[in-house]
Amino acid sequence: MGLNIAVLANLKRNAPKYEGMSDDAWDDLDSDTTIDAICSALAAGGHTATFLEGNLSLIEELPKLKPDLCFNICEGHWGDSRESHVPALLEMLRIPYTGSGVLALALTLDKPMTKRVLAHHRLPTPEFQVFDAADEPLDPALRFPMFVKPSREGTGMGVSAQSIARDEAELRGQLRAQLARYRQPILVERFIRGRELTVGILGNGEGIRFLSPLEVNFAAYPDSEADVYTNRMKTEWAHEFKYLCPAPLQPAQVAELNRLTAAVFRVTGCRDVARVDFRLESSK
Amino acid sequence: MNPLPGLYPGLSDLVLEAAAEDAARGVTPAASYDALINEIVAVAVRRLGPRVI
Repeated sequence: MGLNIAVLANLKRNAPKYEGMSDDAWDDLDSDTTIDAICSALAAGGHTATFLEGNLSLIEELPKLKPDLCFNICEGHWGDSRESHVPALLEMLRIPYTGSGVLALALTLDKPMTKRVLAHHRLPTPEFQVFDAADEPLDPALRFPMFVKPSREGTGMGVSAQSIARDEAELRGQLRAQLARYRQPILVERFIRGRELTVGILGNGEGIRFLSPLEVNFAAYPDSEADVYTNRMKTEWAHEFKYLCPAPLQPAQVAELNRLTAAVFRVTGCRDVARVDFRLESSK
Repeated sequence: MNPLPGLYPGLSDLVLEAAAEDAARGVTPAASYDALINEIVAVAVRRLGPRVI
């Protein structure tokens, strides 16, 4: 049966502008190409699809459209739980939507909070510390090299070869730069030298399925990227993405990645669809 | 962990993963993309049940 579906997203071209915004601000927002493709796919599936920008105009537009379902991919604009704003609004309006709910979206936007949940469930995640200021004392248990990135950004924002801090001077410099640029707590983790993999998951409960693991082909990128999946690779060079899919892995490694993907999906309370990213240590 | 993975056709990780699997069965990237989007709807509808249908 065809549904009346509202496709909700935040387009990069509609994003607010503000003084002092960084070059990569709004890199995680969507393009017309994506929205057109989703609407076309839904039409091919027998549905009626209408795009609506995911902002406060939804309060007036959704009751007019009366969708059976919202296809939500809103990233939001402001605040430390911005990805959960539209789902919260949809719940207030009692309109069902695809994907994860308010709590899971707020949790997983915050990398340190997500890591705390994973650690509680004994799921592997590198040791870390969160910095609100560049001169905070460093946890003596942490060892260099470390990796520095914003706590609440996607699309590799703040991630470059310079994110790898080999000593305290580099760490403090990166902290100063990222705190000034992103104006949010900065996450510092033990750096894992190795392969970068990602696994897609679809479904819920007993009905989940995993997509083939994808590996970023670092060998095809210049040394300047330092075997890190950088913001530049995800944006400027996105149309020449170098990858291996299925990733060359042993069946036991795929089984372990799938097990961990399902566990992370479950303990963070995700629904319907997600992607879990991994660093596979060189020794493994 | 990304519960809002990118869905840019032919570029986003999730789309490429689905396309790689479907290619082995002779499915074109365009058809694979359509199937991925409609699978997301289908799993949500199964989860939501009578609220949608």
